Amino acid sequence: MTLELPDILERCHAGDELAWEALVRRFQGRVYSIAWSYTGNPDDARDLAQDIFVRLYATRRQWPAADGFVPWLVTTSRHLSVDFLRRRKARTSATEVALDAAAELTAGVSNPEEQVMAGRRRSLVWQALRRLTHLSRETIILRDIHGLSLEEVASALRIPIGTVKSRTSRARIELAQQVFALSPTGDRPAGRGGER
Amino acid sequence: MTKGPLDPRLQRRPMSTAEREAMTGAVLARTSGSACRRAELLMAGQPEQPLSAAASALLAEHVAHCDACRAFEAVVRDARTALASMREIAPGQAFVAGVLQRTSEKQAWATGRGWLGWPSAWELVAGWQVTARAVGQRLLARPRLSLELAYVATVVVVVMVGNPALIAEKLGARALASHAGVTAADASRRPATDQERQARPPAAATEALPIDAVVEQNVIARSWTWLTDRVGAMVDASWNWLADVVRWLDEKISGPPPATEPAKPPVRE
Repeated sequence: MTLELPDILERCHAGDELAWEALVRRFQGRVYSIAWSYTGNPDDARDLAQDIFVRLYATRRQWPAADGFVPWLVTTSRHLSVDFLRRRKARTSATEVALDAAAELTAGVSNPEEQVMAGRRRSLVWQALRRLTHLSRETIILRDIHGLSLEEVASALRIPIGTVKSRTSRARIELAQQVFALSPTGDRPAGRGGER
Repeated sequence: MTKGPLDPRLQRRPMSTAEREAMTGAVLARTSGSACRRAELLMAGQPEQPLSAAASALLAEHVAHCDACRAFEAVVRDARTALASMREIAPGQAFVAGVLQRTSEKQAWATGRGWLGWPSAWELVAGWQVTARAVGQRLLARPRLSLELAYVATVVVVVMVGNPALIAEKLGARALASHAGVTAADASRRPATDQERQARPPAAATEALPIDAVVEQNVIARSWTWLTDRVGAMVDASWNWLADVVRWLDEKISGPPPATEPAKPPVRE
């Protein structure tokens, strides 16, 4: 039996160490994924994810209610990741590592063949994602990977909702073009009625 | 008028699919151009921008006939699945233990209580260590730490030692006084008191003036004065220029300033 998120949050507020451990276990994959999306490096991502949890722990009295906790967690993790990148920019930049080299995704695929195919596809999309502009990448990370609503993305990026919509469309087109460019099968077929 | 057999020149076989596609492509190329861009936008805008039934049907018809857009649709669909699977990545076995260790250190500091509820000395020391390490790490991680340190050091030096120009002047005056036998009053160009005149050594007893040292000090002082004068002049000039710009903008916005004297009526002869 697993405890529901509101109960875990309430117990964390009360200082229950077991509830805190349960919360870390429940959201470690998510926070680590955000950290990796921004740093592009598993070691940096691990350190950053730990820092994010330590900061969460220090501010546990200010957590929002359970219904808004996940978007808040994603947005806070994003802010801390951007801070981390800003600090790292002033120093050496770490080498980026492709997702399939070390990642163990929690979304399970049963069939081994499917697993291999899904891994290849994921690796390709990950590489394409790393080649996007910063803004497009952020939009895809928040909207398509972490599933934030348009309002939440707008709030996190501090831009109007209409801009989020148009940017999301453009970012997906950009991502598809990068996937085509990286694809080993070659370029995209020609379109109808003139230039592509 | 009776119907006769159709002229064989007018008898045509129906167009093949490839010919139809080629013709559609040719017409589009000479008219509106490719519709693929519009189709891409519609496909990439899902689900944020829902399509009407008519738009959906038109899009489906386009995709059914366009290889490029079919490929695009497949890539977008696969990318969605792949991106959704990246939502959670397992960070490894030791991750939770690492987080719990770091947060338990904080916990020990925040709620550390020894015998009868008082924090023990060891807990206090351990807590301060944790806090100091965290503060140190945050400070070291600041991107402009070296610049900030240099700025603070400069401010401290100026506050403790004083203005470098004044120091140079003082040094020059002292050098003159010590080597030429002049008093502090002479060096600072004020009339000497009787006491100072009596204390002044006879001119013959003074050593020869080492002119190089004095010249060096004077050069430093004059250079500094020249520099400060130039900077001051530049600041004044830029300030005047800014005031002119503001005045000009003000005139542009609110019209020319009123004349100081009322216009004189024309003189009648």
